[in-house]
Formats: sequence, C-alpha cells, structure tokens
Amino acid sequence: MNAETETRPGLADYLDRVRRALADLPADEVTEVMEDVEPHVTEVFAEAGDADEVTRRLGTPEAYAAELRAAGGYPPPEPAPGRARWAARYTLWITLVVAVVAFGTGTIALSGVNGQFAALGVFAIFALPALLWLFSGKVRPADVEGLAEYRYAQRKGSALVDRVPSKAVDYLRSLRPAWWLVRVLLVVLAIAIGHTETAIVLLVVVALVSWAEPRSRSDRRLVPVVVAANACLAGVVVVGLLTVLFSSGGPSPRQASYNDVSGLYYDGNYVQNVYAVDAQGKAIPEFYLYDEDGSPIKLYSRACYDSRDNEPDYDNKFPLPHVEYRGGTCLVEPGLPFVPLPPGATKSVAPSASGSAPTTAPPSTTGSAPVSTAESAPVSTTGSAPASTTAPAPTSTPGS
Amino acid sequence: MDTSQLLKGVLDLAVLAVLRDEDGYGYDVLRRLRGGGMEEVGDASVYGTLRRLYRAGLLTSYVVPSDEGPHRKYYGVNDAGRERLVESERAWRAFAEAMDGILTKGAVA
Repeated sequence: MNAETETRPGLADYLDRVRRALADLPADEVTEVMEDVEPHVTEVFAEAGDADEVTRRLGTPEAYAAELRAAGGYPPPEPAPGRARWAARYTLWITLVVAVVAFGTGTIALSGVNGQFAALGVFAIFALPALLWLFSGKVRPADVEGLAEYRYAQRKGSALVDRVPSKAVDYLRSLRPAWWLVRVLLVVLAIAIGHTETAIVLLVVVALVSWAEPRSRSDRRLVPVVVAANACLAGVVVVGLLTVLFSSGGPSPRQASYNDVSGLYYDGNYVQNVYAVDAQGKAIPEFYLYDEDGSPIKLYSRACYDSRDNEPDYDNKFPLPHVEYRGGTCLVEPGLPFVPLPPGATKSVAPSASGSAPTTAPPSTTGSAPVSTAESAPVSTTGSAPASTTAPAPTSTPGS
Repeated sequence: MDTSQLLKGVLDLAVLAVLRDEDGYGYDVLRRLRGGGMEEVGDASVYGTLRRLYRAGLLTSYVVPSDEGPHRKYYGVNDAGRERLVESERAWRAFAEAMDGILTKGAVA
C-alpha cells in the first residue's frame, strides 16, 4: 500500500475485495494481476472522485474480478471439497467463538479477577487446529471466504455499511491511526495497574495485533489472529470508556453532597423546629417559612402515626407538632416547649417538666445571622446574641 | 446488438495491435482501444486479456517506478506476439471480408 491508497476513501477497500475474489488463484499470479489492477483502480478513483462513481464505471470489486477471470482464462472459483469445507467451517466458527471469548476476557481484564484468562486460554487451544490447517495450506483463506455463511455475513455487512452515510464511514476509517495510540495507552495502563498477569497478557495481545495486522492485508491466514486480538482489546477499551463515563458527571456524588447539607442549620446545629413569638412574647400559633426565592423552607414533621404507613413528611407550616413519647405512648404537646421572655430579655426559661428545654433568644428584626439550609437561605434571627437552639425532645426512642 | 459479444473474439487481436508500435501499461491499452472506437470494452476484460496473452508468452512485461501512485507495469509485444499478430490480422481480414460479402449480398438479394 502506498500513500495514495490510504488517502482515497474506498480505494484500499475496493482493491482488497478484488484481491479476495481472486484469492484462490496461485499467489504469484494474484500478485501479478494486482500489479496491473492497483494502478488502474487508483487512477479511476482519482478521475471519478468517489467510490459510487467508480462502482458505476468498473462494477463492484467482485464483478470486476469475475470479468478479469473470464477474460484472463482463469478458472472460475470452485468450492472446496467436502472435508476441506468442514475444516474451513471449523476455522470460521472457532475464530468467531474465540473473538467473543476474547472480547469478554477484555471486559474483565482490568478487574484483576483471578483466573480471568483461563477461558481464553482454553478456547485458544481449540483454535490451534484451525491455525495449523491455515498455515499448512489444508484450509485456504479462500475456502473460508467461500463458505455460504461467510458470504451471507459479508453481503449483510456490506449492505449495512452502504446504508451508513459515506461521510460517517470515512470518518471512522480516518480514526484507524488512533487505534494504534489506544494500543500504546493500553500497554501503559496494563503496567500501571500493577497486576502482573493482566500486564503480560495485554502486552502479548497488543504485540500480536501490531505484528499481525499489517501482515494480514497480504497474508489472510493471519486474519483470525487479528480478529481475536482486536476483540480482546475492544473489550478492554469498552469497559475503560464506560468506567470513565460513570466516574465523571454521574449523579451519585452530587446527590451525596446534597444529602449532607439538607435540612435547616443554625450555628452548625441541625434545627428540628422553629417557634415564633410576637412583640409581647406571645406564641404565634401558626406561620409559614419561605426563603428569599419564595421556596418553602420545609422540615421533617414528626407525627404520632405508625411510621410504616406514612412517608416522611416535610412541611413548612410551623411550629411543627411537638411530639413526645411518655410511657410508651406518643403525645403531641401543644404550645411552646419553653417560656419566652419578652423581646429584649436575654434568656428564656424552660419549663422543667418535659426535661427538654431549649434556650433561645426571642426574635428581633435587627441583625441577620444566616441560618444555612441546603440553599443557604438566610433566616433572620437575632444578631450577635449567642443564641442556640437545641433539640426540643428526645426523638424516636420511647421513654422508659 | 450487444457489441461486447463481438469484442470478446477480437480483443486479443486488438490488444496486440495497440501494443505493436509502442509499449504501454494497462490503462494505456484501455485508452488506445477506447480512442480507436471500442467504447464498450470492459476495463477488467483488458487486464484479463493482458494477463492471458502474457501467460501465453506473447507479451513481455516490466515495471516502471512512478513518482505519483503505484508503479506501472508496462507490456510489450515480443517476437511470438508479433507472429501471432500477423496471423490473427490475416485471419481477421479474411473473416471481415467474408462477413462483409455476406452482409452486402444479403442486402442486395
């Protein structure tokens, strides 16, 4: 292959298909024929511009090869005799099976599971006879390519490729050199991961692909090796890409950090309830809280229901029911759990009865110590007063 | 009538003829044939014919390096080829004459 065949989309593919259609002829003769055909097809590609026009002028690669055969006095391609056909069939299918197993092995290669390469090893042993047949000439690549199932798959495959816009195909072809880079990265990754077995296997696979792939263009006996090795690497790459996609931009980390700061906090303490009194120190029985955007500030509202029947209830109607457990029964305490002093006094006095006496400074309109919520909505409270709210009651544990 | 059927029988002769005075690579041969009026000759047929004539020992071939694109393989007629060309040309002329006569008489009758 020279530079021109690499730059013209479809040219290398066309020549490849012609060569394949002639593959059963003696190798020397195929070489001679291709020495004529290559400059010809290259020139036609240069004149025609795109592959469709070339096909219009020359016919499909297979038709071109058939016409050349007829005019050249070559025998028509003949199917392999029975036994060789079965050997060819075995070669085709074991290649497929090994490729699938290799892909699967690739997907778990980086996980470092013990014995992850065992299955690939076993199937590679089954593939040995096929390689022996191929390299001893008992099975010719043309025999495999002449199999009905191979031709069927090839027809379906090229029909599929034809349906894809040619620009997309050209783009994917242009990515081929990147596959080399990916292989190098895989070797680096395999070494970095520190799992000796994985590193050795990946090194061998990458070396195999790098050695066999360029040769497989002229020596099609190497194609099964290339297919299986590439399938393995593809498995590694697919899992690698999925891992990268999941670890970046996934919803889970953000969700976790949101949960960490949900609820209402004041001076770093979780606020379970909010009470309000008017200027005379009289409790405001019902009010609703909103942040500066108008979103309700909701807190978890406890109730005396069986919790199994009720979803956790969040409400912005305050004060939330003050739930107490006494003697195993759940009670809702009305009113304030503390006695507020009129505004201006420093401390309120908690009643001792309930044993849950949060202290608080009455609200004033001046000053603004922000109370952080998930949205960090400021709730106006007293300014510099060292006010602190604490839990009004022991929560879910029933009293003795 | 489909002239490609006619072409089949005379393509050997035509290829030898266009190479008689000057060697050429495959596309040269194709262009000379088309330029001579054989518009319908198939590309692959010409290359097949060249290989067949070469295998029959009627052509020589040599590769000429090219700066742009793949190297070109040139074909030339050797002595055996020239001999064949003379024979085939004689046969063709006799055939064409006979054919012409048949067609003319047929038209007159």
